[in-house]
Amino acid sequence: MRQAIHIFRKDVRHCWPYLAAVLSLTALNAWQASIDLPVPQTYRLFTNDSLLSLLMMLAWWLTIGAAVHGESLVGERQFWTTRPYSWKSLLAAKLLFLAAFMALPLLISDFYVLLASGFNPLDLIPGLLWRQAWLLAFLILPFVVAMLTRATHDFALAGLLSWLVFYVALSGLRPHFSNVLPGLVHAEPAWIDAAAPWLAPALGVPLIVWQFARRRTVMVMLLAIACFGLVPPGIGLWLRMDWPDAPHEDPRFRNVTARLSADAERATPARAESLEKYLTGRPLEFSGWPRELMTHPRVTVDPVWPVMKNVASFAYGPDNSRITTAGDGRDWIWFSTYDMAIKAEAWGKPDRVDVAVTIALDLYERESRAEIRPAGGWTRVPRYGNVKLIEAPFGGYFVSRTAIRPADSGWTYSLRDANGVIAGKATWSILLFDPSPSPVWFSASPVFSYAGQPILLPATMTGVQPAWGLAALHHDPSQRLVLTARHRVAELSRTLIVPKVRLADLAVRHH
Amino acid sequence: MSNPISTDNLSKAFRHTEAVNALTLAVPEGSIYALIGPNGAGKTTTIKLLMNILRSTAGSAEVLGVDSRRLSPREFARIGYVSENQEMPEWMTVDYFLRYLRPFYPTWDDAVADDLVRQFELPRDRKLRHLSRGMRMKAALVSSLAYRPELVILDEPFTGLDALVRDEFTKSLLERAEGTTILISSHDLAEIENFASHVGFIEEGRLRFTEEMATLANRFRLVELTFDAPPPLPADWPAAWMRPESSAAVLRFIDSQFDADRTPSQIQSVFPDARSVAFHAMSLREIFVALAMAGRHAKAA
Repeated sequence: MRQAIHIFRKDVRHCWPYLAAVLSLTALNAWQASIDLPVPQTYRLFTNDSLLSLLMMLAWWLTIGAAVHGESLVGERQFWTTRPYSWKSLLAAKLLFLAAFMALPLLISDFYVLLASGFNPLDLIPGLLWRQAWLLAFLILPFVVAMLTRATHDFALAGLLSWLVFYVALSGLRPHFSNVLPGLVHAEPAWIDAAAPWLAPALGVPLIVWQFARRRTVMVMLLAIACFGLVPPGIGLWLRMDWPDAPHEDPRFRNVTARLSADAERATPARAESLEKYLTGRPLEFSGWPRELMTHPRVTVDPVWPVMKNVASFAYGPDNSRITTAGDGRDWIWFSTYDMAIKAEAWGKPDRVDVAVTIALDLYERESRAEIRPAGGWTRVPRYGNVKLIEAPFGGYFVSRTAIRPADSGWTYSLRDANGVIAGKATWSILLFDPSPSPVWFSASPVFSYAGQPILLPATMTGVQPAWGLAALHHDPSQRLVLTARHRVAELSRTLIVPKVRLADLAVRHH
Repeated sequence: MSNPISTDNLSKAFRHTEAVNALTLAVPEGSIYALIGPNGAGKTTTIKLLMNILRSTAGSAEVLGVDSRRLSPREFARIGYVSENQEMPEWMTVDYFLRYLRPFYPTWDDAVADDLVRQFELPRDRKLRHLSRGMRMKAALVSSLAYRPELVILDEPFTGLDALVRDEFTKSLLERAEGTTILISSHDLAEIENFASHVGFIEEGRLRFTEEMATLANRFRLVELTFDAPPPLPADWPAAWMRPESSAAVLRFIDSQFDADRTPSQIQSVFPDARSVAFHAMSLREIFVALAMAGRHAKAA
């Protein structure tokens, strides 16, 4: 260990410009993540911190390269190879370097941001460890690239290439698969996401140990290429596998069933107005889930045979769904539209298709409530951070911050008057956000800020964006927006294959 | 332990090239062993195999009694290695370089290091990247002698150094490494000749011979015969007589198996008409050139 610390101290001395950059960026990131932000223009606030995140990641990469190249593992001319270096000490020194200047500063930064955002970091230890796991996963790649290259320019080139491959593999293929394979998005249970950050360490750590112990660069490089090359098809296969969709053995979800309703009477098309070439859905019967849980349904409808290239289907969120209970006690989920675009020239060609209807449900338990006054300050909600309402010229937003974990959470809101009566027709229970399916697997900040959908002021904006006009917020100081935090307890998905369906029977075509 | 370095049929192939081919040698304890040979003969590869920088494709080597493939920090703490083309931590100053290496070696002696730095007039606060080639080699030597290694391995240490630096380098090496086993590969045969106790000649990856320097010097003689008329070369030319050259009435060749008692009579029997015979001692360089040329001719034939 003494030798490891000795090497570590040398690396610190050698890499101080890089470390200064890393620490400065980490501090800047913490500061930016903790400050009060202006009214967002988009659903997610922190999209404009991508440059800072990019700089942080770049600094991490370059610093790792400099540290590892301090004792390059490639080549035959390095001074240290004929000195009494222990490979274990060398590896320990480099890992200590990562821990001291990347993991620890990020952890401290996370603590600071969480405190500033109204969280108790000690309540979020699993989430913080989760972020550390993602950081490890993220840093494994530059570490592997650095140990297989000799100089900075090799490292930069190989790093760029590997990052592109990795990025394309992880980010690009996921939505691609969702278009070509029915029910992929949201179909995998949460534990798959939980396992994802360990994939890179599981592949990378053995390679790192082997290279440090034996310095078999060519062999390790081939294995690294093979391993990382397997990631995209591996993810594809992973997603295509028939994973159990109930969380473990929870008996509450054992009897959940879903089917396309055969009851034509219920298939009354909803108004879709000028949505040309879109289909309107037929109701789905969905039963067996615990009534005390709220659901957050999404649906996709895909022709699976024959392949129709002119059809694009996407998961559709809860805004277009309602849950109703039939006289027989069964629950029905009504989707006003399936987001299924078919080009006009493809309509009716062929007439009958096999259709895959995938319904995904997130089931939530109620956790806590917060009442927010318009134009008030931040309201702290235990476990869910600070929330406040911001009035905008055309309505109001509520802005919330939430920690990356617990991510299985969401908000519903209702507008109540001074007597606690739900105002107007605002009886919706809409989940305003749900961070967990986000493709952002690692963020520079432990806190996401979200803006609720605009709450329109009827007096000024009635009729505009009616789909978003979920509640009326009056300039009445006695009114309160009641936010109900919910915790996701299960993800369920069912894919129903309905053979030889006439599209015309399945849905209504709008002109 | 009698031989700090020994190899047994050590081989290293790069694709289709045998860089080292069934090399068997032994470097006796306390010796200064010069590994000589033409460019590309396999000297550096041999040393890299000994230092576990490269892995052999066949055969084995032992360094300080340990299989060279299993050299551990414990053995490296007893070995000083200096190579002409070794990459150094360029960003370090001389002083920091030495201070950095010190904890790696339990036997590190600051007094030795300070002495050598003074002797070499090394600028302590200058970064290694700003040192001249000679200075860098000196810094490397200081860092490899300061812990009084049992074995010093030098790979072409004199390449690119001027005569003064070479002298300083050699002098310090001999002063500080007294009793230490030294393996040195070099083209600078004149320099080596002054202090090597043993020599091994390697060519095309094969060890052509290995023996004590004194024996080698005694074994090689330039023989000069004078005749009344141009001499005919006998058909059964002895294998030990190399590079025969004749001009007018003089015949010269190198006897690689000279024996003061036997060789004169042998010459007398082969060349009974020789009017006079003279034997000249040869320098290591002359021997090296003769061997190299003979090898080249044999290959061409």
